Amino acid sequence: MDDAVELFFGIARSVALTPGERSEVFQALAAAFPGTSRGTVRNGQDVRLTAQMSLTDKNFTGKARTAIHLTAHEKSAVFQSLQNFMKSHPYAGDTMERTEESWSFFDVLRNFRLAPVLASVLVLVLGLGGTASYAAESALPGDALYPVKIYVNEGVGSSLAFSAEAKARLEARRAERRLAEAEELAMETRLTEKSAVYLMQRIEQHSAKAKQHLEELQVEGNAEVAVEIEEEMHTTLLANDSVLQKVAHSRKEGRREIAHLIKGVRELAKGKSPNDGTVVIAAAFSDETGNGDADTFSMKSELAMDAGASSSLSAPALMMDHKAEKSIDKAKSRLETVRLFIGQKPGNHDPQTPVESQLKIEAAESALVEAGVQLKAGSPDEANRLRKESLQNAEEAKLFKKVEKKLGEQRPVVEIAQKTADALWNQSKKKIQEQRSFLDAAKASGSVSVEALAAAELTLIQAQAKLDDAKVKLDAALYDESIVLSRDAARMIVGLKASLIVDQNRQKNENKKKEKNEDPERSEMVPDAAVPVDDLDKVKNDVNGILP
Amino acid sequence: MPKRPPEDPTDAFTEAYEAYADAIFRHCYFRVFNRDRAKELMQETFMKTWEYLSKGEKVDNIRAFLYKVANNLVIDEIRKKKEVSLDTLMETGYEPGFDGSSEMKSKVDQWKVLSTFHKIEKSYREVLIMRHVDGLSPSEIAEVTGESPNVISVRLHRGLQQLRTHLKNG
Repeated sequence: MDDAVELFFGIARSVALTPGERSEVFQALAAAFPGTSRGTVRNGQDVRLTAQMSLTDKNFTGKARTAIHLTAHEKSAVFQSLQNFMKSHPYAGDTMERTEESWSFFDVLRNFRLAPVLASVLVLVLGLGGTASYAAESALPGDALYPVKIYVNEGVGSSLAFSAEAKARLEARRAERRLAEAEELAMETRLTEKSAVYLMQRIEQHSAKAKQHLEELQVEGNAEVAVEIEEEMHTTLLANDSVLQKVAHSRKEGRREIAHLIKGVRELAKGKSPNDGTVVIAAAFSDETGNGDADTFSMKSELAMDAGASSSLSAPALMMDHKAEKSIDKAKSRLETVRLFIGQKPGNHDPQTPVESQLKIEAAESALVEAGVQLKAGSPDEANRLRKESLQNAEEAKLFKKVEKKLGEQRPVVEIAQKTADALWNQSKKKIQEQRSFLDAAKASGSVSVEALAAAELTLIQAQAKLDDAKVKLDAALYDESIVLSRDAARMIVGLKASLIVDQNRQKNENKKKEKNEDPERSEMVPDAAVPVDDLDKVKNDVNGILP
Repeated sequence: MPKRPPEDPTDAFTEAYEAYADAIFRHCYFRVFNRDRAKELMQETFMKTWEYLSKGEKVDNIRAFLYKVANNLVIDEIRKKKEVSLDTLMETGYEPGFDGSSEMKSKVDQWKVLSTFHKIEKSYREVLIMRHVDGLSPSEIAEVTGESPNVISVRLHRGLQQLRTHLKNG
């Protein structure tokens, strides 16, 4: 047998169960057949599973089983989860919030106010057992099997996660699932305001929990993994942002709900960098040995650049290379995996692969190649940025594959309003940038009072926030609303330059008066070079330009 | 004649589990292309085996017995669900999520192996798995599947040919 074949089977033989899975199955066998309980209990996890299973009905022995069934553990999880579900979904109300009160299963049965749907869910789950759990995977909010998905499928996962890392990944995965559900609903035009709000809340909650566990990880000293997970979560958010935009552009309905999701996702993505930077910096400084990792260092230097502080981290730059190479290799593997997932062989153009996915994966490929080049050329920060860009494109390729099938290949018609909204947004963006530069110059010149500067700064921040909102609407294909917001943003900053110039002149006059009082011989002061008074005309023109 | 008490099969069963749980799982995995399903089928296999043993039946070759049971379960499973496309399986079974394994490379390799197996004809695939992944001899495979050793040999030969072709084409 030749080498390739030998290698192939060698890999096949390496597929195995994890120790956890192995003992999980064994414990299930042990519960159903008391005779096997003499097997060794390996770790605390097994003890927990056994204890839970002793609560359940042991009367399965002797029955020939050809049907699919739930393990003892899964069955008890189902009972508990159904209790919770039914308690929080009484027939009369229709809330989606969970309550913490427990309810005996028999209370449930006695409660005839339960909707018939719940009864059939019970029958379904208990009757079909494992199949229900399997089928529930694709359930969406509003489907009968959705609670099974949340409480059973995801619930079982949480009972098996013990380390901070496992918990963090679990919460991150859950947030991802909620996002995917939202996208699915949007594609089927089933996304209501209530479900959008609900899902966004859940996404925020899971993200927050994940962050908590990541902080625990940092404290434990495992900064590298924490940064990795952090990055993955960020990548997922950005990639889903793109997908949501695509869905919004190809469906007339549900755009407002999608806008809500996009806004939430962007806020979550923003909320990440500053916080993590602080935590990471703290962790790195507390590291006595000085063995930080590439990501930690590059994040620090990114932040250092933002803060304008000088980076004393250039020395460890040489140490970084090894870790940086490792993360580029990881990214390479990830790309490979996604390629296989979207069904494309490297270098081929498979007609089955959706076009968008193909483009994205190619972009991911070239970004990663460039990252390697940059790293060799001694620019680790640029390499890192490209690596992240590559991962994001890969993630989008993966998500687009799922989406494109549903949306079909139709090229969305470019609506006329879109062009206007786009142009106006860009115009307002430029204006805000100009005002920002002007403000920075004024600050540097020192000829404007602190109060005036602060007021201008505030106005700019508010205008920027409005512009961000306009972008959300634009990306969600809500063109009319976007236009309104872009205009508002521009209007807010109309008087900004003028107010600064006025203040500057006032300061000048006050200084002149002071000097005249002190020294009558002195001639007229030469005006400051920073802000020429001619600018007032320019301001007038600007004002005329903004208002259409 | 004095009555012999039935021998307690517990130890034998536990030993069999330790020895073959992974192998049976692996076997099922490459045939149903779904990890969770494969786990369940493996569990099912051992449950049925226990039932058989606890009834006092004797089993000479527990390994062959396990494979026979597993093979039947897998055949039933495949019959129930018509052959699914790898696409569908990916949506329900495998998805390259960020599960943080540092053995990312091995996951990619395993996935390649899985998708290559999927391309091979079913009847060849089965014998290839049994011969080269499970390590059964052609006569053992014949016993498990109920086919003649001749048929098995032919399928093995053709299966390897197909495999080589697919591996060459990448």
